Amino acid sequence: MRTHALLPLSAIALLLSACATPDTGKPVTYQDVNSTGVVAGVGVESQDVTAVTDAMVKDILATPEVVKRSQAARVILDAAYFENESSQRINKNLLVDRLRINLQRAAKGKLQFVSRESADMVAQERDMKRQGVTDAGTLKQAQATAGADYRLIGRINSLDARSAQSGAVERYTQITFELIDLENSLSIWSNLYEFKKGGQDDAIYR
Amino acid sequence: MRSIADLSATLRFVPHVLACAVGLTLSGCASTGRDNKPVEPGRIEQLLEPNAEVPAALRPYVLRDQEQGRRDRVLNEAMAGLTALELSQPETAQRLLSDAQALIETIYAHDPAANRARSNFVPEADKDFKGDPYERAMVGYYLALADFSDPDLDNARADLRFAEIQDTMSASETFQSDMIIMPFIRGWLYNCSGRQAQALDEFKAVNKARPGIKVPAATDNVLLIAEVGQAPGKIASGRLQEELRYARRDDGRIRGVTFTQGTQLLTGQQIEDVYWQASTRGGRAVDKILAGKASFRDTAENIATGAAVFAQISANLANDAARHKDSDDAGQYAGLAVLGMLVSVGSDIVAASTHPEADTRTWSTLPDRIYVATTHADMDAERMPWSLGFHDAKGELQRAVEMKTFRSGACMLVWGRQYPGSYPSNWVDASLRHEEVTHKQCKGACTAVAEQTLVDAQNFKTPLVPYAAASELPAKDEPSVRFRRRIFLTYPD
Repeated sequence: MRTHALLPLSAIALLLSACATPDTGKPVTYQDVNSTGVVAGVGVESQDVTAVTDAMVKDILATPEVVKRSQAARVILDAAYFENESSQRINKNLLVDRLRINLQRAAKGKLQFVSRESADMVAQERDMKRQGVTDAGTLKQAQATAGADYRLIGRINSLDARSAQSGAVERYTQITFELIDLENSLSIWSNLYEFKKGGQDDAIYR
Repeated sequence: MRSIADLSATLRFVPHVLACAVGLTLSGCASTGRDNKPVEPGRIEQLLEPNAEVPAALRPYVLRDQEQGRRDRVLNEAMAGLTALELSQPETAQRLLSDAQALIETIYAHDPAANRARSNFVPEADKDFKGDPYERAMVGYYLALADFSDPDLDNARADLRFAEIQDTMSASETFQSDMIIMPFIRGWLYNCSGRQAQALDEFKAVNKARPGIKVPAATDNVLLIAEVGQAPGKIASGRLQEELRYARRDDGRIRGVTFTQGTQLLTGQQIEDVYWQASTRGGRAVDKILAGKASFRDTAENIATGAAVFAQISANLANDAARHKDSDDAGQYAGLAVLGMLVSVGSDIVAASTHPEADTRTWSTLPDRIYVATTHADMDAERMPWSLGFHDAKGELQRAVEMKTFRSGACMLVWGRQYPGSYPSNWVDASLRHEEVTHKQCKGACTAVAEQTLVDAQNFKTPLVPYAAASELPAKDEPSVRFRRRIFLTYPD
C-alpha cells in the first residue's frame, strides 16, 4: 500500500520540476573596443557619440597642419557632407555639433568655424543693413562673408550580422572623418572610430 | 479502526484541502503575470504634436497605449504611425515609428516580461510585442516613407536597411533578406541624391533576386507605391493552439493597379508579397518553448487521467472491502482513492493553468501586396493629384482613390492603399476621374494591366485565380474536445 501511495506523490514532484525555465538570453556587451557596459541595442548610442567626438577633437588639435598655422584656419564643420550609410537611423547633428562645439572651445582661437548653415540668414541681414532697412550694427562691415579653408566630410557605415538559429545580433559600426582642403581637394586630416556590439534576444523573441 | 461513516465525513473536506494544496503548488511556480506588470502609459500621447488636438483617427491608439502600456506599444505605435501617414502627417509618423523601431532593436535579455512569457502558466502573448520579422520589416518600410519628407535621405535609406536586416531572421536561408522592395526604393532614393553608382548596386540586387522586375531610370524622380489587399493573418493551430500558422486573408480579387495624373496612365508592377514574407519564415525558437508547454500540459492531463482511474479502482476496492465488513482494508483503499482524486484534480488544474497558445497578435492594417511604378515629372509645374486604380485579373477597373504625395527636393513619393488603416474618409474616391483617363488611354481595353498581372504572377509564383475568400479561410482552430474527468466515488451507505 505504501508503495502505491508514493506513485501520485512522484507525479506531483514531476509536475513541479517543469516549473524551471531555460535560456534567458545574454545581455548586450561591447566587443573588441575599450569601453564596456550594458546597453539596450547594438547601434550608436549616447556614450558612442561622446567617445567618438572626444577622440576626434584630441586628434585634430594634435595635427600641426590644422592648428599650427600663422593664421587660424577656417573650417566648415556641419552635417552637409556627413553621410549615414549604416542601418541605423541617426541624427547626424548629434555628432557634428558636439565635435564643432568641443573643438571650438578647446582650440582657443587656433581654428575658426564658418557656418554655411547660417549663410541665408547672414545674407538676409547683410542685405537689410546695406539697404538701410536696419542700421549697420556695432561690428565693422565686411566686404564679403568668410571663405573657408577646410571642410569636414565623413561617413557612418555599419555591417550587420545575425544568426537565425541563435538569435544573436552583431553590428560593426565605423565612423570616418576627413578634413578636405577647399582649394586643392587634398585630405589634410582623417581619422575613424569603430566599435562592434553584439547581443542575443530572449528565446521568446526568436 | 475507522468506520465508513467517518470516511464519508472526511471526504467532504477534500475539496477544501484540495484547493489549498493546489494553491500552494501553483504559487511555487511562475506568477501569472499581467497583474504585476509595470505599465508605462501614455507614450504615444507624448510622441504626438504637443499642445495640438489629437486627430480622431489617432485617438484609439492613444487610449489603447494608455491601457496596454509597454506590452503592445510597438503594435500600437506601428499602427498609429501608418495612420499618421494616411493623415499626411509624416513628422508624427516619424516620431511614432522611430520609437517602435527603437523598441524592436532593444535586446531583451533577462527581461522580466520575457521570463514570464516563457513560464508554462503564462501565454506567449504576455510578452512585449515586437512582431514577426515581416512586421518588424514593415515598420522600417513605413518609417522610410515618413523619413522621405526630410531633405536628407540618409535616414530613409537607413530605415530600409533596418527593414532588410529584420528579414534575415528567417530560419530558412533561401528566404533570408528577399524583400526586394527595400533595395528597390533605396536605389530610387540614391538616384534622388544623385548617386547613380550606389543606385545601380541596389538595382542589381533587385534583379538578382527577381529578374523580372523593371528598375527605375536614373531620371525617374517620381515613385508611385500602391498597397493592395488585407494583412496576412496569424492562426494558432494544433490541439492546444501551440502552433503558429499564417493565412492569406486577402481574397485576391484585385490583381493589378494603374496610376493616373492628368492624361498620364501608368501600370504598376508587383514588387512585394507581404503574405509570402510572413509565411516563409520557417521555424521559430519560441515554437520549441510552446511545444514544451504543450507537452507539459499533455503530461499533466495524462497524470490526471491515470490518477482518476487509480482513484476509481481504489474506491471500488473500498466498496468491496466494506461489503465484506473488512473495515481496515476499506479504510486503506478509501485513503488511496482520496489521494488519487487529489492528484487527479490537482493535475487537472495544473493542466488547465498551462498556456501553450501561440501569440497571434497581428499588425492588421498591413497590405497583402505592394505595387510600384516610376516616372519623370517636372516638379515646378502645377500638378494635379495622382489617383490609384484597382483592377481585377482581367484588367477591369474596380475602383480608384486619390493618392498622398510627399516631396523631398527634386523627388516625389506618391502613395496609396486599397484598404484604409483607419478611416475610409482618409482616402478620397477618384473612381470616376480614373475611369475617364483609363478609358481614353486604353481605348476601351486596358490590356497592359492584364499583361502585367501575368508577369506579376510569374515573378511571385502566385496563381491567377482569386485567393480563398476570407469566409473560406480556416477559422481559428479550436482545441479538440477534451474529456473532462469527473470522479464519482461510490461508498456504501
